[in-house]
Amino acid sequence: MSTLDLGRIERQAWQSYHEDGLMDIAFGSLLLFVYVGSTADRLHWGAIVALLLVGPALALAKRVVTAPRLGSVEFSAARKGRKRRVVLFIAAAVAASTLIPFVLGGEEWLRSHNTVVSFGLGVLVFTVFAAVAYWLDLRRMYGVGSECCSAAHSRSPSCWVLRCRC
Amino acid sequence: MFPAESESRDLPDLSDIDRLIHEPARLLVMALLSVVESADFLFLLRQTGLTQGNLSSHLSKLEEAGYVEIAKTFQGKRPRTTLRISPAGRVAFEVYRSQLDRLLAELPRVTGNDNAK
Repeated sequence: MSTLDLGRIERQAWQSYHEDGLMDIAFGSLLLFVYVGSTADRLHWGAIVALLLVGPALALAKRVVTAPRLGSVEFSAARKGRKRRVVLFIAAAVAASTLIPFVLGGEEWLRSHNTVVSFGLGVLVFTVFAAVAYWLDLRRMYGVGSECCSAAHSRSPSCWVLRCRC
Repeated sequence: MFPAESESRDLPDLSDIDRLIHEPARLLVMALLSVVESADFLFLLRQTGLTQGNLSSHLSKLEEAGYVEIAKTFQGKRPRTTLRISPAGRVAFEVYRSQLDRLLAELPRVTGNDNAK
């Protein structure tokens, strides 16, 4: 093992670059858009628009708000690969939450299996945040994921999937 | 009693260590730049905790040695200094790391009992 722990130095630099809270605001907005979008329309447009907008909005905010105050840095290709993995994972999770209920049997099936749907949704939400926490080295996302998971259980979660007002 | 000549020859040679990198502030700058593609002056200032003048002087020395590439640009009306480690700097840093690792590995461990003696 090396005397200089470069991995630790890189991780600290990465974490301090994300102390601005923009990532948290981005995920909060994403959840809000997904929830509002799924209750307002039948085709998940809210979620799709949110997915398309959150990335560019986050990049713009980083450039305008964070860079002049905390400085800017370009991380290694490995970090960029991890970021790409997270974006793909979130897109896959949104696609899965939209398609799987229809494959399994539509609204009737969802209504009759409320507990299973509730559990599945909670696990899916936690998995997304756990993936973010793991790949992006942002451990606080484990806590955020746990809270969102319990919120998905407590509030009739099939409303999300059924896209009806509740 | 003086140590035998063969014993003194076994001691690790410190003269090979790159003194330019060995200075703590410059070592931190080199370590940071070696793990990122590029960073600007403000980011390094925050990460190292150095003053502007101090960091600037260390960067000048590293640039003179050809270890760091400095690009000064403007973003709108704001000047921006972007830094990246040069290929020569990366090689020098890797050599320094391996020398330091070898040097520290060769030193005997000092335990509490040894100090008491």
